[in-house]
Order: sequence, then C-alpha cells, then structure tokens
Amino acid sequence: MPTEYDNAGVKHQPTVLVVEDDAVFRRVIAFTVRKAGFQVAEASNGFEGFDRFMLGDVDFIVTDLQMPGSNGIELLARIKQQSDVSQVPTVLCTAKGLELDTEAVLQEFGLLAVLRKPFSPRQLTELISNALQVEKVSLHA
Amino acid sequence: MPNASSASTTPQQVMAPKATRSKSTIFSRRRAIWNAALRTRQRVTTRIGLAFLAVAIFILFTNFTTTAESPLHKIAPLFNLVSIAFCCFAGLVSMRTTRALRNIEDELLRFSAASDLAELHDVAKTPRQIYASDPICDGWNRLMDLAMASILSDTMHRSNAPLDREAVTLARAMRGLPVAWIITDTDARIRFISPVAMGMLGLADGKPYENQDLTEILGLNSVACEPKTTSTDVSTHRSSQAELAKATSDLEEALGPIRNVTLRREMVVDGSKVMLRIVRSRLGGRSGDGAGLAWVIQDVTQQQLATEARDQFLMTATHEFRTPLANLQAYAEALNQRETLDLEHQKEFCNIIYTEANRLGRLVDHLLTVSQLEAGSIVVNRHELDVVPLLEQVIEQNRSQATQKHITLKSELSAKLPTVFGDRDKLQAAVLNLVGNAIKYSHNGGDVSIKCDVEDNWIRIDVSDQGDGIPIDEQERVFEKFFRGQKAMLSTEPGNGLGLAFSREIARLHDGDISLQSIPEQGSTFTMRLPVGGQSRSGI
Repeated sequence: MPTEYDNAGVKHQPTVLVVEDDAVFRRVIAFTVRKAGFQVAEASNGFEGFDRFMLGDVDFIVTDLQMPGSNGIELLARIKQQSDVSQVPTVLCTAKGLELDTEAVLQEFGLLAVLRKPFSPRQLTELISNALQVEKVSLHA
Repeated sequence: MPNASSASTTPQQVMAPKATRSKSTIFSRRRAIWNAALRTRQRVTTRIGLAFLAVAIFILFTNFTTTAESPLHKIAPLFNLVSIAFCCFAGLVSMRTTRALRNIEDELLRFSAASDLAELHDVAKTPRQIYASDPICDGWNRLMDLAMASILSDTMHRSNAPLDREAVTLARAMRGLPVAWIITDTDARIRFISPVAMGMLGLADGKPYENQDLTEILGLNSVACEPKTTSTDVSTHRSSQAELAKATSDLEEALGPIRNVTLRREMVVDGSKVMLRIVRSRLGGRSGDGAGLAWVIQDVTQQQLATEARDQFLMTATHEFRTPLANLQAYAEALNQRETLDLEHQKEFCNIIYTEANRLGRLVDHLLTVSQLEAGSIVVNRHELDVVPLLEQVIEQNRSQATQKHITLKSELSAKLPTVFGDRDKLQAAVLNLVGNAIKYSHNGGDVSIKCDVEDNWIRIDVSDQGDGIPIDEQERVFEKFFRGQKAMLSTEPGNGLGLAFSREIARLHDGDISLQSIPEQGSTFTMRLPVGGQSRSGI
C-alpha cells in the first residue's frame, strides 16, 4: 500500500471511503471507523464516491446500495471498469431484504461482504481491519 | 184482441212455408245426389265392373232374343246355360283380379284425400297391407314399404332437429360467454375462437384466424427478450437466459401430454403490455374427431399490478423500517463505548437515538393509521372546531423548521370562518403534513403560504410552496402509500411516502378531499376541502 508508509517510514492510517446517503447513518459509521483507527472519506452518493475514489488514496470502500443519483451498484460498476485500481476491498450495505440476490452481487463485484441493515458497526470495523491487516502482511512478505 | 189473433196466426203462417220448404228440400237433395253421382267420377274398378256387366247383359240379352228364331233353337237352352256359366266364370275371375286393384285404388284415394303434407305423412305412416298373391299387390306392398322406410328415416331426421337446436344454443352461448376461450387441434392450430379471445389477443375481427398457430400468437415459440435498461441489474444476463429456458419449457408444456397446464405470459397487445394467464386442457377423442386443446386466457394484468404494488409496498415498508433501525443500533453501539466518548458526543448520540426512535414511532403510527383508514376501522372523535386556531398552531409547530431554511411562512386566514365538524388531532396532523412537505420541498429562502377561506359550503385550506413542483405524471401518484416522486427520492430530505396518503385519508374521512395543482419549476399548491358544518350538517 503506497499510502500506508511514506518515504520516512511514518505509518499513515489507511483511508476508508464511506458512501451513504443517510447523513445520520454516515456519521455514525464514519465515527466508528475513525475510532477504530482509520481515516475516513465521506460521500453522499455514487458520483461523489467515484470522484473521491479516483483521488487514488482509498484503501477500503463501504457503500450503501440505494442512493439517490448514482447508487451503490453503479458506483461499483464504474470502479470495476478502472481495472488497475479495482482491487480495493469493498463492503456493500443495504436496507433491502431478501429480494436482493446477495450471491450474484458478491460474485459480480468480488465483494468482501454484503451487510444488511441494521448491522453492528463493530462488525464492519472488524471486516475492515481484517482485510487491511491481510494486505499489510502480504506487503511485508 | 189484435194481439191474441196475431199470436195465434203467426205459427200457422210460419208452419205453411216450412212444409213447402221441406218438400222442396227433398227434391233438391235428390237432385243434388243425382247430380253428384253424375259429376263424381266413378272409381276405375267400378267402371270396369259396370262395363263388364253391361257387356254380359248385352250378350245374354242377344242370346235370348236370337235363339227364338234361330235354326239352332233346339240347343238354345244349352247355349244359354253355357253363356251364363261363361259370364259367371269371367265375372269371378275379373272380380278376383280387380279386387287387388280396388284395394290399391282405395289406398290411393286415401292419399289423394289428404289435404297437406303432414296429413299425407300420417296416411303413409299407417299403410294397410294388401293380402294377395299377384305381382301387382306385391309390387304395391313393396312400394309402400319403401315409402314407409323413407318416411321413418325422415322422422328420424326430424327427431334430430331438437339436438341441432341444442347445438345452436350451445354455440351461441359459447360465443356469448365472457371468457376468452380457444379450441385448437393438437398442434395448436386454431379451430374455434371466442370473440373475447380475439379482442384480448388483438386479432382483427374480419381476419381469418382458422389454422393459425396459437403458440405463435401467444409468443410461446419465440422469446420476447426485452433488453433491460437498468445497467444496475447485475442479473440481467442471467435472467434473459432463464427467460429463454422458460419459454422453451413453456412451449413443451403447452403442447405436451399433461392434461391441464397453466402458464403465465406477458404480451404486447395493441401497444400495451398485458399479463396473460393461460390455462390449457387436453380434449379427449379420436384424432380428427374432437381431440384437441382447449385454451382459456385470462387478462391478469390488474392482479399482477396489485401484487406488484403489494410487494413494492412491503419492500418499501421494510426498507423504511430498516433505516431508522440501523441508526438506532449503530448509535447505541457507539454510545456503549462510553469510556472513549466525550460528553458532547454522548449527548449528541443520545439525541439522535431519540430522534430515530421517534421517526420509527411515527412511521409505525402512519402506517397503522393509513391501513386503518383504508380498512375503515379507525375511531374519530368529532366535534365542532374552528379551523383558524388549528392552522395557527400548525404554523407555530413548523416555524423553527422554516427559519432553518430561511423560509417565510405566510398566512392568510379569514377572521371569521364557519366551524368544521371534525377530529382536531387528526385534522391537525393532516395539515401538519401538508405544511411540513411544503417546507421540506421548498428552496432555501422561498415562501410557503397557508390560506384559509370559505368556498360555497366548503372550508378551503391552501398550502402553497415555490419548490420544484411535481411532474404531471406523478401528480395523482403522490397520494399513494410509500410513493415518493423522483425529485423527492433524489433529495436528501427524509420521507416515507406516507404523509400525503395519510392526509388525504383524513380529509376523506371528514367528507372532504385534498387536491393538487402543481406547475413544474414553479411550485405546488395542495388544497384541502372540508365541509362546513356542525351537528346540523352531519345530522348527529
């Protein structure tokens, strides 16, 4: 991860992009993720999320599925087209019930997980730290 | 005594002509009989007999008269005897022969006496066998047998007539049935089709439909793959493959050996999409004789729409419940780590939990109320009330929200208004929704105006905003449960799509209604009308 260590070897916190239209929920997710020791970038829909992602320092994406404007699937599809940076682990969260074909979405975009609302933010932070830990190990190796 | 004399003479006067008349009638009758006898043509056999008799008498007469002077008078008695015997013999033979003819003639006369065809049939139905051993009688009997047989078969045909009538009645009934039925052969080529089915499948009336392939009309043998426009649907590819597989199996099933098959099929008829439920049953019978397929087609588009609406409702409802629930759980969890949380955050999070719990509560309330209102099982406490104080209260409730968005709340309330007979809390909630919506969908710095006036027998409450307005195609739908307009969906404003449904139901409960005038890009005005009146009007 280029952003995790700079030239001086000072450890930078990995950045988690949180894309969520409900400001109240975005706030608590961002808060919890920050508490867990990550930097947080926030976006309120797919367009904003994609623009933020293209800045290039995002290590992990948490996105909502249903959002006005550009939804989570559209965001994931656009990110997927950028093949060079599409390896970023992603978690999709949704308030949809069983009508969502989770398996299909997981496979289509190589997602880490699909979280159904309501879910525990701690569960999310565990997912994030696990994913980024694994990458850290692989970097060291 | 003129009266008595006249009374006594009258019978005599009457009697005299009567006597003369009876004499004359006897004469005239005799004459008539004689005339009739002369006029009516004798039977052929009678005439033959008379002719024979005349010839015999003539021969005998000449015999007797000639023998007196003849030189052969010695053998005259013998000659006479021989001629008498010969006459008798000839008479017997001819009588025997003519009896058959006579019988036949009698029969023929019966026929000729018949006045019409039906009587003729009756006569022919009761033939009288002629017992004789000569070929003429045999011939006659056989002829009568033939006639009898043909009449019998004719009456057989006649007894089929009621059956034909039943068939016609049935056919008419089938044509008139309000059911879209189609009878095809086993290869699904149309043999009969009801007018309803023709209408449903969009077949032109005059067009020949016979022998057309029904599966082709129903699109069972071709896959109507419509490209799905939403790029977000990750399973598009999959579903089109599934559709293809389904269509193939549908066709196989439709023409397969299973007795009863039910299919669903979406079709485009006259440019509009319809959902058809197709029931097919196999008709028994030998091939070419009754064997085939009977199809009944139902237009289930409306049911389909209702089901979709219900599913949509459930999906939206669960979605609407999950969002505040997710917030509750997340904030409660965040609060739980109290030791790492400063007091400011704790307070804030507590507030959010409170707000979210309220939001959830309101959602439940609204959902319940709307359902109850729709089911007509809600309790209303109606009493006479003034609308103006109610509106003023609503405006106060919204003031803080309005100032946040720098919105000016303008009110034009007539000072003196008649009262309304209604439920204060529910009416207030209904108006609150309208005003809340107006503020929610206004631009910062806009105006929201609340007017109240009398119009005929109605109290009219107008709530206007200067927002984006509502597109015409959404104007009726905004009152549907959980419906949110495109712009409302895009906006960050929270909403559950129940508010307007609730308000309208409340207004209707008060025998009023809510209508909407909206010009896109200029704003919307929601108008609530409530009937003027207290107890006198409502009759309670």
